[in-house]
Amino acid sequence: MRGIRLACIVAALASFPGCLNFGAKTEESSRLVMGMYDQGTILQKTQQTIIRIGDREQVASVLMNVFGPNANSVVSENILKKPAQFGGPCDYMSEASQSDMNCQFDDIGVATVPSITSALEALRTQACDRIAQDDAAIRYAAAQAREVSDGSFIQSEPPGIADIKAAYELFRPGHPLPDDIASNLKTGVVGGAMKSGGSVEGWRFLFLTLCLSPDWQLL
Amino acid sequence: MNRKAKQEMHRRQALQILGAATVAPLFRNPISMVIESLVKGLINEARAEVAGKPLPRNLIVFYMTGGAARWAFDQSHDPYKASSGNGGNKQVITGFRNGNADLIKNQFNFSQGRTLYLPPVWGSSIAPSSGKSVQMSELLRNAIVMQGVNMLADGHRTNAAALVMPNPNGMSYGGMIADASPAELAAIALPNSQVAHRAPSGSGIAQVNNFANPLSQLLSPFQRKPASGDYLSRRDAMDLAMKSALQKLGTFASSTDPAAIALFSAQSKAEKLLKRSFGDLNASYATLVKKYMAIQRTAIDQSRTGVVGVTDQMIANGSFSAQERLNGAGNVADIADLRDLISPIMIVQDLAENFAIAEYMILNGFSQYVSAFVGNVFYAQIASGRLETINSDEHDVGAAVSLVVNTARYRAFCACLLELTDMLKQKGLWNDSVILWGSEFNRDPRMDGSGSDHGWRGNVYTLLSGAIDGPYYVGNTSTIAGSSAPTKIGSSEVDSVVRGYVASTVSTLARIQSPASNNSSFLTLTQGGTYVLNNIELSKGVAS
Repeated sequence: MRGIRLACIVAALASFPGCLNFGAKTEESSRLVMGMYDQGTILQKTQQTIIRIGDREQVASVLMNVFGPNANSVVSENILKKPAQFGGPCDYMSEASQSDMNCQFDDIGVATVPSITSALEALRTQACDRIAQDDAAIRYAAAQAREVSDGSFIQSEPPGIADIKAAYELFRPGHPLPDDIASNLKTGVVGGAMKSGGSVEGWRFLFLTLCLSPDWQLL
Repeated sequence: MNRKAKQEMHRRQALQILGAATVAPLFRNPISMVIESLVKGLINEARAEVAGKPLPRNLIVFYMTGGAARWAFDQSHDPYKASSGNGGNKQVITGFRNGNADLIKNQFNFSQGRTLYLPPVWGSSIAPSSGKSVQMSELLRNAIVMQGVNMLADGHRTNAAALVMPNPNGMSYGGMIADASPAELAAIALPNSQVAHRAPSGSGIAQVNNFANPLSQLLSPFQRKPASGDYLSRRDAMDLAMKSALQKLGTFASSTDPAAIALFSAQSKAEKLLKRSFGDLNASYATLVKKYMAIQRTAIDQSRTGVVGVTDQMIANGSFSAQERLNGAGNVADIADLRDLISPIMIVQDLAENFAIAEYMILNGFSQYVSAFVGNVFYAQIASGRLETINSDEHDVGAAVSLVVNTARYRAFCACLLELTDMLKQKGLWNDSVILWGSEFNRDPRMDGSGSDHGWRGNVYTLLSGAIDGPYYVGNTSTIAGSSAPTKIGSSEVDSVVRGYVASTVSTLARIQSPASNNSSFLTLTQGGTYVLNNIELSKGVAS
């Protein structure tokens, strides 16, 4: 070990970045390169880029489409009734139909286009968590991925690569998931979940992960 | 985890990654020491690269609606000269001497031989919660006041937005800080404050709409709801696998849309907060409001008789014209002593609430940017037993009423500031924090003392930070070059300052990129780590 370190230090004089792959720190170094998401520090900047993400109607419609009517109450509570975080129209001329608009009087001034905040992501995360606990919602989503009417197959059939790719496109149509990422999901998330609970858990944590992944909000 | 700890963690991780902890014991001879120093140099270089730019400083912005009578507060006409009359402008008064109102200045001596001549209110005492009262001018030791800033146009909303987004086509301070900050709710906007917001990477600003338990409002999305069965334990067990998967999904998403990084960063922060316990937020807020309310009340109560040169002697109503006694709703008629305007329940709108939230969010590391508000004065006694609001947009607030009411307002503000700065010092954050206050415009005083209109060509901004080795007064400090008469406060175009200089000064202190890069900062960083005045043309009136 000492020899390896010495070699690495000598090598550093010629080619310093080579030492970054030393020992068990490979993962950290790749994180440093790509942006340290989980440290909350964004090292890579997209200068002058304004992100456009969907408003509450858009986010809600994706979740309702993927998970079906069982998700409606959760989506309503965490997304539709949160215009302060998720934006979208709040028309105060429609006071008589405020329940339809899901707006309170204080929400009238909220931005139509939402901005990215931890609060928005926390509410969305909570929605995903609550939906993922519902077997019926998972069955509905799995059936959508396989384009069949009945999702009861999740009791015995774990998600395969094709299922994972189809599931991703439910959230983000037109963005086919590369094989290596689908494979990683299968090994890590699906495989890990199935160890403790069989194929249903595999489907559950697959859809939870895809739901948590915030990229499908991008317009 | 506070910011220092986070920074330390980054450094530690970097050192571990680079294997630096194991370097030293391997080398002992001179040649190896050379190699060691080279390696250390490389490590330091890499560490700087890993850490990236230093974190931004905390920035708290107070939007002082209307910019009421700044000449009685932080603006000073010729602050480097002992005397300068008001040129017959009855609105421009800072004190009462022998019953007569005038532009009075007192001498204040600071370190390094700096002397300033300022309104007498700076000589009065204010006290934080610790009870140890200090002269108000102590705050100025860490201040730079920028005067004569031309806003280019009039308008409440557009100019108020410029306070936080000085270039309409550029980024806002809050946006720049939110992008660079690891804080969970990096930028927040409090009720009535300015929320003009734009971030290079799309980071958002969290808003609260009212003062009904605002800490709960801000942090409520992070209060996790109970889960069914053993779901949460299974989810915790899956945490690492899901984190890894999300990171890969993030890489994929950002390959086509780099801006997705901000989304994944926000999701990661949200996950952390969902696992955190916050205690009783409503109780914390109530305690802090009570503290700032008490500080405010003490400062206002003492304003009634305790400001030498302003309220230490009777202010006879009969000494002033009807115009000078205007309050917006008519004349102050039947109180003999104008000091009675300061009622036992007078308060400044939103003051305690804003300071309470700012203290909690900044000191606990939840935010690095707070946009706050200082509003009108409530419950001024304009007649016996009749309490009214005195509007900060002082179109119809006469000189005498304005001075008495604003003396209380600005002392209350400064007392709360002193408390906040004390708290920041206790947490070791004072050098890493900046407080900015300003308004949509200065006032353009009417000659007859009947009020003032929008003075958008000569605005005033003040910055406070432990990193400023002040005090400094810069910009057009004498209103009109070559004249001693401040008859054009807020409305002179002579030697006015482009607001980009203010933007660059704020940005330099906040450690963010200036949204007005063509204009330089008034301040420059010294090797000692403090900021001193740049020797630039626009620092007019600065004593050499």
